[in-house]
Amino acid sequence: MALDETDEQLMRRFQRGDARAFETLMRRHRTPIHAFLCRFTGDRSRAEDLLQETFLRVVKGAAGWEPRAGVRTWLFTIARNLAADEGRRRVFRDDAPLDAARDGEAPLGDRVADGGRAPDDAAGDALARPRLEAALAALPAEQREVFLLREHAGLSFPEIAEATGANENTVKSRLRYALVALRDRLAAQGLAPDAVPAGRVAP
Amino acid sequence: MNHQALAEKVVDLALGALSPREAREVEAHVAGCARCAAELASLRGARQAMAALPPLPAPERGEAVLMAAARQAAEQATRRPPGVLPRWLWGAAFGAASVAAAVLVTLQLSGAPPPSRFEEGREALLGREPATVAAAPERPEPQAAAPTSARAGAAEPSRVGPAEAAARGARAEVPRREGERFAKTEAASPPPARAGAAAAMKAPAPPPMSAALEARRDHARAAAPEEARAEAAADLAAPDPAPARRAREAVAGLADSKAPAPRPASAPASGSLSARAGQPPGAPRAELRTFPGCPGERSRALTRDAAGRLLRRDRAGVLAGVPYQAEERYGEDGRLAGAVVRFGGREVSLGPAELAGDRLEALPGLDLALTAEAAEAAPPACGP
Repeated sequence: MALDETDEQLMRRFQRGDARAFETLMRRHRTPIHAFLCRFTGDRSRAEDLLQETFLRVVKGAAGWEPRAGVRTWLFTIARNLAADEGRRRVFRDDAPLDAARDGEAPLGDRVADGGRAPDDAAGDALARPRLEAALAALPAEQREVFLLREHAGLSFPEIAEATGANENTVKSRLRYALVALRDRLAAQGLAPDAVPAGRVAP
Repeated sequence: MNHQALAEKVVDLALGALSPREAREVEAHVAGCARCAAELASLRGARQAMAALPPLPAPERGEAVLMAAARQAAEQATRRPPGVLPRWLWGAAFGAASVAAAVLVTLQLSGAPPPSRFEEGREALLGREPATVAAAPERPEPQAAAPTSARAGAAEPSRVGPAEAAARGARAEVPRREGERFAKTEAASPPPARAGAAAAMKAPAPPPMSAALEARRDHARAAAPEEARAEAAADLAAPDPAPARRAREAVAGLADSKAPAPRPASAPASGSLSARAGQPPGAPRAELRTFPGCPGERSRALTRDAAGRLLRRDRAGVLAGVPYQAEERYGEDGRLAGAVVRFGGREVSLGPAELAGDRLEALPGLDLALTAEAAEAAPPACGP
């Protein structure tokens, strides 16, 4: 049924008064958006609230949506803006940095420095996954959002630029910083799958 | 290509962000440069590791609210030219946006704010009947204390006491309050017509709702005593819950310090206040019961039609440290047709689909009564 329909077709149907089209749309996107919000905010319950609000905004804004705007990008833009606004308010209110709670990470040293492993089981490893999450969480917010939007949500650079309000070059630059920072952090924890310390690979 | 540019290209290559032509160029270089090769490998490894992070499925909670909003919007879309959403729906959506978790059977209380933030109060108890709350304590005759007193007064001006006149005056300034919505819609249409998950959004008269929401927003900012009281009653969250919460906190202070005569001398401490006298025939009548010493259910208002059939039951109290208001509406068949539970700044609406079970626990220790009969008979939920 609706499975082959594009987001845009679903959105048009919703605009014409078919609530089930919205349901399909919501089911299709709620997990990626939830994952984005979880990892962007670092707080599951906030993510859940923000997810809910994201889709309510979609309901609210559906009538004004135009086909030229990709639905997926639009959804992530809403989610990202809600999270960023809320983050700013939170910082202002609590006088605590957005990342305050995220810097905690498992103590180093229980994994040997050269304990590299195959990429496939790195995330599946019950020990590794929290560290991967922590590495992500330790990124500055503007790098983290770009990384998540690109790598997990699969948005294009122009779409990310639109969602974050930064220009494309800035987006690319943040993404580079993000990947390098993640690599360094994982390597520092012996979790760098293919990392080969420069000194050891010299031919 | 200088070193810096090359380093960037290697990162871009690892990110898959290069055009095919650029990618070939950089790969050609990397093939002959061990250092760049190692860099590329480590970056790719990190990227792959991060890509292997599992998706985080969204909980199902809240879908009912979203679908109710969507159905409402869809309904409107079929009636209106495209591009126009009714303003009241926007308001409704905003209000519902604060519904963090619509749990169908048991509401999670873990995230609720600490109880000390809320006045444990009677001021909020009749919820969306601010006129009642305002009028009831001061009016000399006990029968005044009813959700419908405002309407009764309007029908028979000669019976209006000074306090109620003042209350009405206050209401006149903000003519459509959240609290009036229910009284008015109830008078205008039988409860079954309003049954549905979107109880909060399905009030049959959209314009009043819009006005009510806007008025409420103003209240939240102004927080003048009268208005603040209404705000406390109307727990439907404003777009930004913070002002509303502040207003409620303000109310808490007001209720403690400034409400001089909280209870009419003639009102029994734990009795019923009936509002039969002075009602036009056929109008719903409300009965207010209070249960001192039972924090779990401090008050209960039963609204019946002229034939004595229960239309709705409103309860308020504090359970597990969280103040709540619960509204249950009963259809002509005597079955529970819809319910709205507000607690800790959240609001959960339950419609027929969610009400299909045998037993519904709205909050730990607070059951919804599935029939009017059960609602009449149920002892107060005094909590654990």
